[in-house]
Amino acid sequence: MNSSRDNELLKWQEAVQEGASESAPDSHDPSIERIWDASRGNLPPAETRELLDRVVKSPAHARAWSAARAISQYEKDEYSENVRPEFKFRAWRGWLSAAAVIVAISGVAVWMSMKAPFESNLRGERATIESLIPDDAALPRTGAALRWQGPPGVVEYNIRVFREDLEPLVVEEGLDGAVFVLPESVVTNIGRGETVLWQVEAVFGDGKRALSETFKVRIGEKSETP
Amino acid sequence: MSEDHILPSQVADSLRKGRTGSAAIEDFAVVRRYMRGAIARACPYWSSDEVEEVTQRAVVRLVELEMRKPQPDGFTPPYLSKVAYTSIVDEFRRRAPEVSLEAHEETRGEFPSREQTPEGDCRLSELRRAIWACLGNLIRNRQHAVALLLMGYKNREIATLTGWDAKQTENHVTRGRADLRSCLEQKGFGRV
Repeated sequence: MNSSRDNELLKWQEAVQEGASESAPDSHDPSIERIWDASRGNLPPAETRELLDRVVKSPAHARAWSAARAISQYEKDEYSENVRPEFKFRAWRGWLSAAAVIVAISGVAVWMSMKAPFESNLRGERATIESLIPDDAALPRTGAALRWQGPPGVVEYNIRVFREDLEPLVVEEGLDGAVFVLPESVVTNIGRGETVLWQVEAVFGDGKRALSETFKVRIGEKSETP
Repeated sequence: MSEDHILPSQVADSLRKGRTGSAAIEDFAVVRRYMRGAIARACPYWSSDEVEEVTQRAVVRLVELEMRKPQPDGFTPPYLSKVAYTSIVDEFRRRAPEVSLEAHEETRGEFPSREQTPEGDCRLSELRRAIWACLGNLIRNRQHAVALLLMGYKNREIATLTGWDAKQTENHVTRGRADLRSCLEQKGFGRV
């Protein structure tokens, strides 16, 4: 295929694939599910062609099909070639524990309504972990210290710091005290005045653990001290 | 943020100790990166902010699904891909009036855009409508071949999906493209 014909096809594809803003499938349209299967070659050819008969009359459904095709391509590219070994490993072994943490993290969606200190109850043990940073505080970019108060019997703490969109910034484990100073390398990646979320896990001598609520704090909103 | 910031040594250490907390967070970061990458690939015309927004919705959807019905095999890439897909379709719905497939078939999806578009976008929009109008006039096999081509498939994949052999596929694709080109030229869209 020569360059001119490549350009022609690219132009057509751009026009077709950008067209979804004008219309959209109905929320309960069962063809959306079938399009996904068809796009991945999971329907018999006869059913695929039957579906195509309908899709060629609907730009929005074609757009959905294009998206499905692109995602499958991405999956093929990323999963079969470039994904790190631990991803493959955990995909089959550790996902449920990951899901549990994700569910815990999802509490961020409602964290704004959570003002009282969070009490977790793991294996019968009650523990309260409270932030010692006022709600509206802004920490300086240099020496930004996250401080909290934990229950008695804690042998070490783990801490996780996230952006508001839940992207992890840093995980630190095995802290002796109830304070964690954000490393400069992490602060560099936090925008001035950006709010970050943090959560502490207390580890007790008998191996039991307790999670705090998700706290929030702004970083570097105020002028830095020279 | 680069993957180096995830502290891989700590994750490995946690795994060795059987402490899955930070490992799970690492997994979560991988999941999020995967979702974002898939969405960005599927919608290359969206801004990074738009991709972020839809990624966020996809992650929330993932959490909700997991709470309702945990996946026995965990979050495999095919599963994540499908969640990304449904999130994108939802975004299409969110941005546009809801229309049934039947309504599409009557109107060919030609609804007025909600926003004023620059001249280039208008031209693209006209081309889009012309393509769909022309597609409707092709014979069935060529319709299917060209539709799949427009949706990004290569000849070999088109053959697999439709059950045609390589020769048939080449024939339908070539003739279908020629028909579409000719039709577009008649509508004032010359060669690129």
